[in-house]
Amino acid sequence: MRSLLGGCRRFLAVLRKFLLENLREWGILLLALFFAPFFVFVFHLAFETAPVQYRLLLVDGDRGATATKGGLGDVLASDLAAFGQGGAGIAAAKIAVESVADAGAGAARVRKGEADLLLEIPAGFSASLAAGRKPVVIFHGDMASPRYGLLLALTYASAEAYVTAATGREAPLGIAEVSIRPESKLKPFDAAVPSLVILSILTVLFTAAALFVREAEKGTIKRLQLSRLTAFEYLAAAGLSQLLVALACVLLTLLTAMAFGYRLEASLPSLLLAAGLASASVVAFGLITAGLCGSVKDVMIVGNFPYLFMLLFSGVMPLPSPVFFSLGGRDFGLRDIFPLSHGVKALEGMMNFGLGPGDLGFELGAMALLTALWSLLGLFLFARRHLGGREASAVPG
Amino acid sequence: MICGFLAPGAGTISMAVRPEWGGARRAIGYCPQEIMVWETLSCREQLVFMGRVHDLGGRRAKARADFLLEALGLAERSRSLAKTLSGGMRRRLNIALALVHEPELVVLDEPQAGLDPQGRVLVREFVRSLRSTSSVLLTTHDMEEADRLADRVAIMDGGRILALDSPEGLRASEGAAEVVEVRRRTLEDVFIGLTGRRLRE
Repeated sequence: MRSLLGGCRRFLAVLRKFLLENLREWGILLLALFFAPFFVFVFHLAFETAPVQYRLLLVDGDRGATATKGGLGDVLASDLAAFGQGGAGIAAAKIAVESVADAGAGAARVRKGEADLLLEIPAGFSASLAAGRKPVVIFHGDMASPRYGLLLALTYASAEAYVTAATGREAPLGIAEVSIRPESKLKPFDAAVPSLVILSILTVLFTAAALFVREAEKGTIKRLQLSRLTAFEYLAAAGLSQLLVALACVLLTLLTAMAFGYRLEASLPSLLLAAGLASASVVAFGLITAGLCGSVKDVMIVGNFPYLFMLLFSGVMPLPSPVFFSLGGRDFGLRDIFPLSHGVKALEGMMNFGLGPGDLGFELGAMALLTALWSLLGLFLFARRHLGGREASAVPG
Repeated sequence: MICGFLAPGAGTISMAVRPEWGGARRAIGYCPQEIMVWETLSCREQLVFMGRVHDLGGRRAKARADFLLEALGLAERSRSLAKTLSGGMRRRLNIALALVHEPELVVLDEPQAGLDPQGRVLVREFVRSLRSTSSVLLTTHDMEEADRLADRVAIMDGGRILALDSPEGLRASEGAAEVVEVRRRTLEDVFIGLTGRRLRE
């Protein structure tokens, strides 16, 4: 009991020291705190001043064939141009339709990124339709582009509606859409906020790694090694100080987003639980980075590797993840070994769909377990590099 | 090696410490030759912090910090961040950090390096005062300093102890060349005589 109390006192002393150091190195602290909120501002500015727009080029070889009623080209141009008037989600996106005379020139513009899709309506389209034959339209575009896929679907739906109306046939399939997002979460800016929150947490990787390494680089860790402080007490206090910084980053990012109209669906305690676990996982990777680096300068170079790895493989970026095995109906892959992947799922579930910790038990549990395991690896690497192993082995026999 | 940072290639190091230290390393106060201070903590903050991680109570840690700041001429700068101190002050703070927990063995590595004459005198007298409470192991290239401070001197070369005795014993040893010295005032004596013993920084 006495040693536990002593441990708590030492832990608090180190925590206080780290918090004081963080506050006094205010330049770095401000950079960490306002990095993500700045991008919230940039995203908001971008989405508000320039709404998402898709660009369609139209080559209407059938123009004039149905002068009285309006051909497919005319109808598409007016239907798609009216898209995005007061809608939400994808329906808030605008579609700019531009007529071009020549398919070759239009395709060249798509290649140059000036448009997302070229729709070619061949001559005789109306005649085929009137004759009861199956008419064909041609889409030109980059099939690897999600913008192409989305515009294709919207254009196809509009064209199909035209054909069923023109032929007097019933549409073969009726569809109804049910959004799984709350109504308030359909603006593109809202969809971007969870990723920005995760970005704010990821920023702490560098500050945490630098904090761990600095003590060793300056040599002050040797003083602490001669004290009663244990490695666990020291690293836990350092980790907690960075966890607090990460949570402050999350709160500032959220507050900035809310100031721009974002509505938080999740309860704040649930969100802080998920954000806290995600932050702890980033601190664990900071410790691993520190275990591989000898100086703060090294951290700024080597740290980019785990930073990008987490950014790419945690689910923030849409990269596929190879599946290793399945258990209990759940696939486990490369992404599942990173705690932040589960953090991304948990935060997106809470922020996009209003889910609670009860709905995300697996993700939160996996995050806690994986964070503990990665922290152990970090402890091992840090202790080996900075707490004596290397120096001892360097002694000549 | 004594502090446990380096593993000995051969042999053992024995040290008698009271059991309440809970291990020999904790009974050591180490002042390295390099300055190892927390740049963004004030002098008092880092001394109190060191006391706390050595399990001193809050009041005791503060009292020790204040005593050491006074003894090493840093009381007026107790609230200054270490990064704002002059080189001499940082070196004295470096020494103070090794002594907060009143260690049984104080290891001082070139403690007077880079100090001005006033600082050297202050540190010398302070180190001499430590002899009443602690064993002091001081490494130096300055033979004058060793002569003035040490009860026993080990002369090392190439990692080997060539001689170990009191300064008087070493001087009287057979291998030592006989020297007749007429002592003149040293430049240090002249400098201190002209500028006084008061610390400038």
